Amino acid sequence: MKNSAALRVVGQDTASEITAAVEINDFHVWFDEAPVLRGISLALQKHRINCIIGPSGSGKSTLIRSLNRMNDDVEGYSFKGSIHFDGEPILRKSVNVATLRTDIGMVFQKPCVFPKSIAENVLFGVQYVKKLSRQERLHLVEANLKAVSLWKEVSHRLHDRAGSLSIGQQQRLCIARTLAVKPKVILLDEPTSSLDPVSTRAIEDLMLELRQEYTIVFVTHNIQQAQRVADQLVFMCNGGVIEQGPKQKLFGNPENEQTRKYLNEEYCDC
Amino acid sequence: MSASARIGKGYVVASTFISAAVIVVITGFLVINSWDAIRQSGLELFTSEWNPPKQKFGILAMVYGSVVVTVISLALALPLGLATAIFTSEMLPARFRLYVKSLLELLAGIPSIIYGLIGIVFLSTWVEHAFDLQSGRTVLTGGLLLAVMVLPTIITLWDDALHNVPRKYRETARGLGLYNFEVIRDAVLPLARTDVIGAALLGLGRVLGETMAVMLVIGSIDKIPGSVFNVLVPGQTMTSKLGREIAETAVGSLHFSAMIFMGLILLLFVLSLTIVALTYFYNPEQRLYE
Amino acid sequence: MNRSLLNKLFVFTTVTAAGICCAVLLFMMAVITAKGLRALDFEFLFTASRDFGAAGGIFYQIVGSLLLVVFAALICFPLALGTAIFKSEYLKNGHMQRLCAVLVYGLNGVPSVIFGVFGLIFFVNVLGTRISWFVGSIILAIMILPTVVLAAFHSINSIPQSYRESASALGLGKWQVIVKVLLPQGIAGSITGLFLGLARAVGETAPIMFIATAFSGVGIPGSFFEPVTALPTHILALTHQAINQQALQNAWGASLVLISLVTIFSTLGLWSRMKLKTMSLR
Ligand SMILES: Nc1ncnc2c1ncn2[C@@H]1O[C@H](COP(=O)(O)OP(=O)(O)OP(=O)(O)O)[C@@H](O)[C@H]1O
Ligand SMILES: [Mg+2]
Repeated sequence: MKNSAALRVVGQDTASEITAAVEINDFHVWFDEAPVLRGISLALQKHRINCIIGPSGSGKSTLIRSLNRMNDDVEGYSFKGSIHFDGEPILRKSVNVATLRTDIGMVFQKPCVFPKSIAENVLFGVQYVKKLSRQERLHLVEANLKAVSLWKEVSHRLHDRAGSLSIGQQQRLCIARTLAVKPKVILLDEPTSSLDPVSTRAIEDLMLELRQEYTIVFVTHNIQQAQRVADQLVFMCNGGVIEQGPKQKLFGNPENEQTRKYLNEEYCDC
Repeated sequence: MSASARIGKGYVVASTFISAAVIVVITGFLVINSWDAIRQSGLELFTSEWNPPKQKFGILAMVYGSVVVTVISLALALPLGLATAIFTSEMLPARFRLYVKSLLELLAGIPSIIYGLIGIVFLSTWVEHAFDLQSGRTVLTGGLLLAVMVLPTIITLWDDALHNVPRKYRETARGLGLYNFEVIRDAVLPLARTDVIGAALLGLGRVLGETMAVMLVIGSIDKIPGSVFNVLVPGQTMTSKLGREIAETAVGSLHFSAMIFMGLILLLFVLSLTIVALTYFYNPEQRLYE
Repeated sequence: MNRSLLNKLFVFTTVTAAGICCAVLLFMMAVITAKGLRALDFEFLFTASRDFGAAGGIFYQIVGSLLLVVFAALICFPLALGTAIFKSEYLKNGHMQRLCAVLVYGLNGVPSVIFGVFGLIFFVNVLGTRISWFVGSIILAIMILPTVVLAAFHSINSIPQSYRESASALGLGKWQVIVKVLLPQGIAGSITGLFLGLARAVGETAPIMFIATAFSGVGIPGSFFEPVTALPTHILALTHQAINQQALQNAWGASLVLISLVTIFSTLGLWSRMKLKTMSLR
């Protein structure tokens, strides 16, 4: 399984073996009978920033929300096809979605903190996975806040309400909360769209750092941003993948005319 | 200011004054009319013997009845209602919600006298047979009937309270790998807690103040049973006492005054409940989410 | 315990609870409908009751109930609307607002039997009216006042500030703005509240049983200060003869009619709310 995924990866630019963390095969989605994704086949690479771009309504969110089965709870959702994570099929009924979601974590467009303290927010997900001693709790809070470079800013007020943080800080707190669960894949759906340029930069830097340890799937509208952070680029339009490959190839020498137009911010009619 | 504007302003000021004054006037009249009883009987009002011929007016038996009936009904209705509200709000597919909500609103609107009728015809005979009693009109029957009565109201209020919590909190919690029961227990309920508690207090107020249904099934005996936990005996609540006796009591007598005193106690209790609910819970400004 | 197992247990519990509630509530509906329909026919609706209700129909009870709530509506609505306008447009002081809210919500929580007791003291004893349907209407009007005030307040208060500002900019005085701009838009919501209040009022027994109704032997009142008979108090009287099967049957019939009235009023309320929605969309 892993080998076949590795084979499908095009244009490898490093010598080390790069395998797919997530493989999507002929995946279709309908909402209330209306087709939203039409036969997506895709390999998302381990320890890379897999960036998905495409016009509004092209199904980017739908696709990444299918990876941790968030769409299961949406009314009118139906699908066909298969998705494998580390070689295991994840769309089977028998799969434990709660466990799956600890492996494939998600950060949403708008930060969503619970009306609890900053520390409690960091621990919100991880405390269910295992019993934590006081020592472990302190350690987890510190380590994960440091990982998102929030520790300096909030270490003196860990017991303040998380809602008192700025929006950019809240978003980083949300990422810390997701990291605390120790996922293997992190899905980020336009995480910077409600942030100012400085906070955006902070999150971009954070992603570049995180890819050492995590597989990142990142949806954005912002083409410059994609150029800054992406390793692999997927261009989606109208429920299908138009083109995918390393960033350099799509920006430099795209196979598809639509891709070229979209990446040059011209009008594209796919 | 033109004449019509002056008249208009006068009208709105006057109607506000009247609306606001009503509750004060009601409370005032109850205080004035219970004054005789307070002066003449004093603390004897809080004993358990109610015996008009002997001029003994202790309201404790009625207070006891109200408390026990309320405890029974809420002990049943609150857990059942919460679980059902969780079901309707969190699990029921949206396309059924409208029907279920309409049905609940319909049931919440059924007049209490009709609940009383059902209580007499069905519930009290069931209780009679189930426990092999002389009469099925007992404190337990009253509590059961009130539980059924308050259920639709409490379910719709709680369903709204849960449903108002924005989706994003559920998605965030699910995305972190929580099971559904953890999502509801640790993300949704804490966020809805002010509304949930407020609705429970509202339900408590309704149960305490309910008259007709209880009056018909409780048996109307002003006694505290030998064992205070014996609910299979006839009893009396403050409301059922008022409903049964006030019209037959001579106005101006000590008896009448003592009845009014009981009404006053009930009113003050319900009023303080409302104020607590209003200031601490049922208040949009206190929402924990935006 | 295993989390997955706990989750299953949780789902099982909620589904069971919902099932129990559903069974209880459907049983109620079924009983009322089945028993009521058996009693209901044209004659039942349009003849007077005889033998203290054990025989005959419920014509005067229906008339009495409608009379009570129609006058309750007439008394309540202007008061509620005035209060709502003042609360929304004039009352800006925070403390006064809070006080006003406490008084109105407080009135909303008053147990219905207390209204009856108050009516007995104030109208029948102090003012010396005899048992009279008009007093009953006044008491019912007071009882539903908070419902209507709150509904009217919300519908007036939620009109966007820009409407008020643009109307003032055209040179309209405050009262003109209220009459010409706010009232036409706020009225539908107020009427919704009124109907919901009436749905409650028509089914109430405790507030009127001491002061407004007689159990038998009355027809259509000739003046404001005569008793009527009403559906809820009629059902109450019939429950006292519950051993008589015919009386019981009439009680079920009257119950079904009463619930129909309640449903009609609430549906009218929801309908006017719908109308409000389409109006504001326009
Ligand atoms: N819950 C839903 N029910 C019905 N249709 C939906 C639902 N969610 C999404 N859709 C439809 O699916 C299509 C894809 O939506 P999706 O949110 O995946 O787009 P997107 O690429 O993320 O867009 P954006 O860039 O604006 O976020 C849209 O046409 C949308 O209308
Ligand atoms: Mg999207």
